[in-house]
Amino acid sequence: MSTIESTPTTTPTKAPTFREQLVGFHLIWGVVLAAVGYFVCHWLGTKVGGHIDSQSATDQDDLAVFFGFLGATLGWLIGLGFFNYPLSRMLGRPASLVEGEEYGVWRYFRLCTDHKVVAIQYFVAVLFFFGVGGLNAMLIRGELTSDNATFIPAGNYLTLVSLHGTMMLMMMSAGVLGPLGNYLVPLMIGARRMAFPRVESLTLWLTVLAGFVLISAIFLGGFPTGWTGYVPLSVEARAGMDAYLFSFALIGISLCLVGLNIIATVMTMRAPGMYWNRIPVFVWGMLTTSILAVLAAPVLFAALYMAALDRTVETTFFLASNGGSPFLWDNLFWFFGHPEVYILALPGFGIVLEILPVFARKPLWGYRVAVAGMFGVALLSFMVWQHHLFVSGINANLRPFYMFTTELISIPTGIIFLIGMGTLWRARIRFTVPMLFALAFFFNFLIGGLSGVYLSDVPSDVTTHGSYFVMAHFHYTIMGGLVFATIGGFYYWLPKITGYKLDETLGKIHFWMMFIFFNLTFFPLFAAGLLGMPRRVSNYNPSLHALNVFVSISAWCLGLSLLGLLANIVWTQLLVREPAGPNPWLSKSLEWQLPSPVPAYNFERIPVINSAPYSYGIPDAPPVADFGKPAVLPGGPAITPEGGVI
Amino acid sequence: MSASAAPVVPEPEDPRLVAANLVVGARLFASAMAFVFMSFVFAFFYLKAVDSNGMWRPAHVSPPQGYGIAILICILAAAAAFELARRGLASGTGSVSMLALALGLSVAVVVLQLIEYLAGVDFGADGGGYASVFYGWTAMFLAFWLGAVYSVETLLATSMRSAREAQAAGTTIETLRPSADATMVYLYSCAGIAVVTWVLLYLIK
Repeated sequence: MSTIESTPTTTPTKAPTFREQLVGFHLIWGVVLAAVGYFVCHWLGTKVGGHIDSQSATDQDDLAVFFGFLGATLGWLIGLGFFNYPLSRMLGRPASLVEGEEYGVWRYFRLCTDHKVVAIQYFVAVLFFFGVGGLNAMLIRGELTSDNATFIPAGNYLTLVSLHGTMMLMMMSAGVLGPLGNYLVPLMIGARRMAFPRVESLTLWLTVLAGFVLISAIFLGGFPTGWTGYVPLSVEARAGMDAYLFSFALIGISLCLVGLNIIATVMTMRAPGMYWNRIPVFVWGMLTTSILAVLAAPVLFAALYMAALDRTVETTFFLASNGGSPFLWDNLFWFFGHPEVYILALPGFGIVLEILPVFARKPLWGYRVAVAGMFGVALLSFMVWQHHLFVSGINANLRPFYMFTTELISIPTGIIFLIGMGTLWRARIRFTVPMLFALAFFFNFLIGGLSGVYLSDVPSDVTTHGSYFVMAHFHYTIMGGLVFATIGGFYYWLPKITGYKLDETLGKIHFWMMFIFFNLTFFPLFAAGLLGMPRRVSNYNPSLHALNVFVSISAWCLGLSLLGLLANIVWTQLLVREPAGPNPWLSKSLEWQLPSPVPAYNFERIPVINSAPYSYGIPDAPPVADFGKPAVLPGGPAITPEGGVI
Repeated sequence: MSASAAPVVPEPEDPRLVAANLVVGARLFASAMAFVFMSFVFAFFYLKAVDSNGMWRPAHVSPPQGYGIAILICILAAAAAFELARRGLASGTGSVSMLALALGLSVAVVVLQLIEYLAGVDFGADGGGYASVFYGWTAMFLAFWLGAVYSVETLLATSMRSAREAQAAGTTIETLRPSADATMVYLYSCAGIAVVTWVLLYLIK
């Protein structure tokens, strides 16, 4: 009987030599082969595209660009080693679930099946692309200090806005599921790995490639559609649009596979005793998000595929003059697009509801109701998409239904909000940095949510559609909500990941700067929107000039505050390292009962779970898990299942 | 208590986990695939209902019925042959010949589809709404079907190699079953989508 190698150990049988590492499959080869693949396949595409009328009639050969991107993707994956295993399986060789974990530091630059390594790779990649999107935002605000286009021409401004929106949406989609989901879900449910370790790594490297393909749009003439890619503009746009379609499709595939992996992991790999009613609420957040990702991302992928066919082989899915319809894009895109909003929001709920009980030292109030609320949000999110089309000319009879369902979704969202407030009720709160970010999440999300109710209402939506009111609303929900929650989660879990704490004082300076300047940036934009300032246009009424200068200065300070986070990371993780210990927050959750950083195998023995991890302040609460024998810290004392030190 | 210097050897993983993962993963993947094709079903009915400019399906646009039926039969036969192979694996009576048959039929689907594009279809992708859906849908199905071909081929290769090794070592080839179960889920899903494809693209006028 053939065995499947599935359990990483601390003692690899044979560490690769430096030469083996250098000539093996890793990032350098990925980049080289991606470049080669792009140019070879672009040339091939030119040959094929020359036979298609629309391609040969214009200078713009979209087919060649798509061929190039496909070739780059193939080269990238071959260089990173993703084809080795499938090919060996085609030759009938035995299955294995472990790869690249023996490569030391090199494992961060190649296919690696350790979920913790992949999560750290995700952190770095998402932070990088988040930085690129943020720089775009700074440039946008720079342009808006003048009421007429000054240093950025109108067309380039549109590309800048489109790049910012698409990059942020793409990366924030991956931003929590990828790093925190991959790192924490196995630890929180008592598993050693994700269900599909290679798929996990694949999703990361597809996300990285997607980011660079999107950036390449700048060199292909940009794209003017914003992140929504509306047709017919997208079908007629320059080749930068191809980069948008291809990169978003890669993200769609990645998102779907991340979701699939997380669902399979939670369903099949829970430790004994980890019943559904004991699963940490963060994992529920990941699970509901993953359900949305698995079901919504394929629709996005199909829509992007149709748009790509329209641009390359002359299909007419979205061309009304030849049997298509632009509304088809609108419907398919927003069928994904609105659940996408909750793909961003639900992980935020999970993070803050995980943080609150730890620092309130109280059990999570209404655990089951919170989970039901998350499922309510997930379910309803598939039934609201047409509120994005209220002013597009859809049948007016459809409006009341979608207005009703959109308003309905505020009920489960409100329930989750109340769960948070109930947990804080009469609590002795420790105002640590993670807790401050969690509390700020509720403040910001309240404003974002309430302004969303106005946008779900047809008359007020018709008035504010396409204005800065909408822009302020979704920045309050996504940045004020998810980004604040994610950064809070980052402060909370980083000591577990690296073994070193972030500095509290620097963290508090970062928090207060970010909180104040976030609100100073985006709250005035509600007013700008109500006063008629349109999105995506760099020209605006001169009467709004002073307001925009104020917002721009606030935005730059907001950007500066994020540098505070970067400084904190460099200071505490590289320069002055203060060991955090296994459980600095005195949390009862399973991951905090392990050494910091977590060893490669996670659990020496799979634990038996005794209770949910929220029994704070309950004197006779059983230990959260039975580890069989105390986990041993590398070079330190043993820890008990409750996180205490023997 | 001092730390142990000896390397930690974690207890081995329960082998049933891999089986459970594969089947759950296959079901989830099939769900995602279903949503991809639901987009095409939506596009089909939406564009048919809208019939923009009277160009949903001009009179000359008609798919080759023979190819449609041949492709469908090959897909269903491949799924049936694979099911027999899977049962052979479960009962230990052997599966290589049925797997080879399933693989042959799977490859035939790819070949037939390519021939249909090159020689069978007498309308272009620019022939209206229906033509767009036809080309987009069938090409996407072909891409997913290649995944099925890969799965069947992998199982056949593993089965042949395992049979040789099992004969030499006197052991069974039990680990193939989880992969076969997962592939079956995927093939059933593809077969279901193939039936819907045939009904919408070939049967409905």
